[in-house]
Amino acid sequence: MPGDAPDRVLVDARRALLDALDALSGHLDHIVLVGAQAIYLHTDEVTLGVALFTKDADLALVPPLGAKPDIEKAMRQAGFYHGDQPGIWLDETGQVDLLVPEGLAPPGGRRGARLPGHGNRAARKVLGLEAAAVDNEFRVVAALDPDDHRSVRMRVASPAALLVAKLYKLGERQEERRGDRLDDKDAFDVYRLLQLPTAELARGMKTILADERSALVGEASIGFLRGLFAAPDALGCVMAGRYIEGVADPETIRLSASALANELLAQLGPE
Amino acid sequence: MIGTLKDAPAPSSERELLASLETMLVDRMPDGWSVAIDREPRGQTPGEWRPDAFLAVEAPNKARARLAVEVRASLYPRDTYALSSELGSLWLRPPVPKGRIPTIAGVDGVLVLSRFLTSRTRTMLENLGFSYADATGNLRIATRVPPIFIERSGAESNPWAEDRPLRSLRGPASARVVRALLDFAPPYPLRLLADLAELPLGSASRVVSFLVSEALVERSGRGPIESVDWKGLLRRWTQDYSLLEANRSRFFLEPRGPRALEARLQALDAPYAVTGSLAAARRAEVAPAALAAVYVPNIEKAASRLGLRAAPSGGNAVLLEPVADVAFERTWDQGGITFAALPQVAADLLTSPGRGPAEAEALIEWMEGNPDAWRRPGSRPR
Repeated sequence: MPGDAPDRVLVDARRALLDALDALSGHLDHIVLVGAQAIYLHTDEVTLGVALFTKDADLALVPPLGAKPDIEKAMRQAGFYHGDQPGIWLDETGQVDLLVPEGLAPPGGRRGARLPGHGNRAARKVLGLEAAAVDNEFRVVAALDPDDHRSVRMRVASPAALLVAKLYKLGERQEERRGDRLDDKDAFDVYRLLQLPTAELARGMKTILADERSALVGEASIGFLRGLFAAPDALGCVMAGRYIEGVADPETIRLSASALANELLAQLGPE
Repeated sequence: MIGTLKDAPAPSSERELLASLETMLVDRMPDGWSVAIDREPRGQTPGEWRPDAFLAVEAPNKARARLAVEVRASLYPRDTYALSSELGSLWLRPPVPKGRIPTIAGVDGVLVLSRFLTSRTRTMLENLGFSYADATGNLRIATRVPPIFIERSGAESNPWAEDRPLRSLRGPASARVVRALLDFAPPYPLRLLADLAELPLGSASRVVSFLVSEALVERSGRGPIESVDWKGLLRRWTQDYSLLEANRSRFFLEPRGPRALEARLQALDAPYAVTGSLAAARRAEVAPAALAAVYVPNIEKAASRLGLRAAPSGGNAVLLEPVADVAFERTWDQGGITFAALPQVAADLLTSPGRGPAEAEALIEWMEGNPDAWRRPGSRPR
């Protein structure tokens, strides 16, 4: 709950984020905070009795990046080591994911991004983050541990860009029939984002649709929003309701998510 | 017939009243007439008044009228004006241009149903263009198009008038006395309590006598009220009072969650009072509120002002027209929001669904530790 001492896992996740940003400070202008930590920065006020929870920090790297500092070397020096996939960096308590929007990545590589001068396992390519490169804003991101006085002014993906990324992830996995990889929490995050002022989301979506770098994923995500959230019994609404079962009435969440999705779709105009 | 009615308990709920209307119509309609009541009207539009039921009447000549039914536990002459303006958007009041039909599709008139309507109330309803019925058999159904007219007489005086000892804490007078006893710390004379409750001495006295017999209030003879077992009274009240049954209520969906509704309440141009979890959370928070509960004078107007969507199920906001307007009294403000008095909040939570009772316990514990924060000495109101 707001005002309570933040959960230890969140504190560690923020610490790992700031450690990574220290290491990569030479690239700071090309880094956009995405994922759960960005969502929580925007949705602080949206309380539902569901604890904020994330153990990792997701950073989008927006090419072209300079060759210095070498990401691979800088991350290792900061105490991170590779996880099982390109772009996953671990330390004792935290995880940092370095992600490159696939549509903006230099050609080559299957999963690992080919960033000149940075090693093939430094960052991973992900579709759906293109919107974060286009629509973001500077925010101050501070440590959550009272003894840690660090804070960084950095780019944070806009709510609309985060919505695009989440919808894209959900939609892609559903289309690939990878139901086992569909995570109820992603659907609930969509609902969390939809609770923000609809006009603000619509403005961001229009920016994303107007930029050729993000227009395609933007359009796809609106299709996913329609398919997954427009009806209260659509998969996304059902998943969001299921995520909160036991804390709130899943039916309330299903109806709410659907109502908000339709509000946004209406503001975006006809198909 | 009054004798038999007097022995029967007064129909008190909407359901009982509709059932009594149906029985009366079936028993007393002239031959060749037929009636049907639809108790679950559908197709409501957000923010619009929804009838409690629909009544279809068919005359022997096959003329058929459909009336919206508005059920009221009690209706005093002055209430008819409010009723008229509340339903005014749906129902053209006299003088109605000849040949005009009411503006609500598929409805030829509005029938007001109550336990007992005095002759004055009946006359006023008639003048305002309403049909009416009461549980003693008074009935008037008059529609212009199609032309249908039925009139029957029932009791002239209220067979359930309060001339016998009270047996429960149902209803507005009990609510007013209970709230006064909870909100103001004794001792005080009965007359002062009646003033605080804004009731005639006789009505207050009946409730107090009942509470003395229940050992919830101490009073020696005709002397002042000496003490009140406030926790016991709260629990005893909630045996007869419940948030969703005693008050008229309607559920809505606030897609941004119960708290989001709070922020918009300032848009209301009428008094309101937030009760339930949102109010209790200001004193003793158990968990984030799952249901917003707000007293308003008129549900439909408030819903439309607040832009709320009706939710037949799955709603997370409930608007309530209180059984007694004491729900709007002795409120407190915090952060620009008006909250119902804590004893009201506690009673409402004790009778709420979900986590309500647990939240009530936490609130009652807080109230016990902080009596000065919610209870004041009884003194004569201005």
